[in-house]
Amino acid sequence: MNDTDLTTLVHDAVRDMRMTVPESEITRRARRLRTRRRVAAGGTVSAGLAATALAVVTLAAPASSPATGQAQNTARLTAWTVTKDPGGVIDVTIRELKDPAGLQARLRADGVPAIVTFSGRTNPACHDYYANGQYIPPQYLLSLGRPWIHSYDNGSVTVSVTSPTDLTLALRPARMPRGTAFLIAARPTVVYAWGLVKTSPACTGLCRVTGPDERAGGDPVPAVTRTGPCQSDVVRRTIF
Amino acid sequence: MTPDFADFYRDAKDDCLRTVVISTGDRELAQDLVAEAFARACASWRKVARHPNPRAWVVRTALNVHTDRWRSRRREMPLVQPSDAGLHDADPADPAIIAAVRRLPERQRQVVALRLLLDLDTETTAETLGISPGTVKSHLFRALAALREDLKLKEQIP
Repeated sequence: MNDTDLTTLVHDAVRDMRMTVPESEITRRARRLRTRRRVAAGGTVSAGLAATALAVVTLAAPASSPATGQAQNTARLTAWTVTKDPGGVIDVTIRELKDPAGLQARLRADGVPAIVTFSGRTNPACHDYYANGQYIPPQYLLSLGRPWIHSYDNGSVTVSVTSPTDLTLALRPARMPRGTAFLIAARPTVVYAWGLVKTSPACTGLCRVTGPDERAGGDPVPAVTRTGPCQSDVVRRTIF
Repeated sequence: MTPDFADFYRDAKDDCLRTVVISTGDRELAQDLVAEAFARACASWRKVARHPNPRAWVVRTALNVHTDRWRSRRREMPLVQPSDAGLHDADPADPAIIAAVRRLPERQRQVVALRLLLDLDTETTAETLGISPGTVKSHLFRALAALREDLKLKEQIP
């Protein structure tokens, strides 16, 4: 076997291998990198420039929690932000464990059946965790790679950890299996758990509901099936 | 994103993945590393676009990320194992060849990947890996000899 044969063999061995990460995922990661660089640059110069960096972050985040940080020279970053891109991907960045109810409401308004808790108490009804339901400190994930990025559950969520306190999730509700909700849990010591759970009245308070499409307007009103609160006033209600 | 980067990603992604798969021997890990490297290329595209060989830049970055992660985790016991490592049954790669390549020392694997799969010349391979052209030739010679021997032995096993 000569060198040419060997080269052909190696080529053929991987010829059909294809990169399956979509271009949109690459550009999303790149946007995050650029944002981090801008924010980091803002943090190393004067308070005026830090305020500019804050403006960049705030402008990029249409939905966010109340700002935190009182000191004059402290960048007042919000505790969490939620952004939705035209492709239906919802980015969640959590910086502080505040206002879980607000975050949960925001996610549900954006079409993600979500349950968010920062109390550290696990609801026993949510026992049906998928693979990633254990609490993990961000520092540990950073020790595996900086930044640490991984996709789970058929790409329905991509988790990024870029600092010892921040957690970023890219949620794709269209890829979530039917009858599941996305759980984000944290303990006050800043350890996170995330993963899909089965929707149920006891765990998520969500049901599959069929009724008039409230968004449609006009007549005739089409019937749709969607995930919604179990006490919703609808024509028919089905519990997952 | 500039249109140039989109074109570059479309044209180069599979070659870069194959190169890093051969270097690391792990399909899923390689995909994650290459995605990270392309994201960094996209974030600094004006700089990377002027690089003499942007594909080599991506592969070098992916291998650097791999090294950084390995340095970070070598003293750690994993708490979570997000996915199975290595090549999977459904993977289109030829497992016998991949296994033979995996038995090579890391540097030889990288030289094989860059020289044979990415088709870089000796000088660019040397520059990408930070070693001399003579070392590249030597690694390639030894790697091909080892592969030839390995595959010959396999053929002899009934």
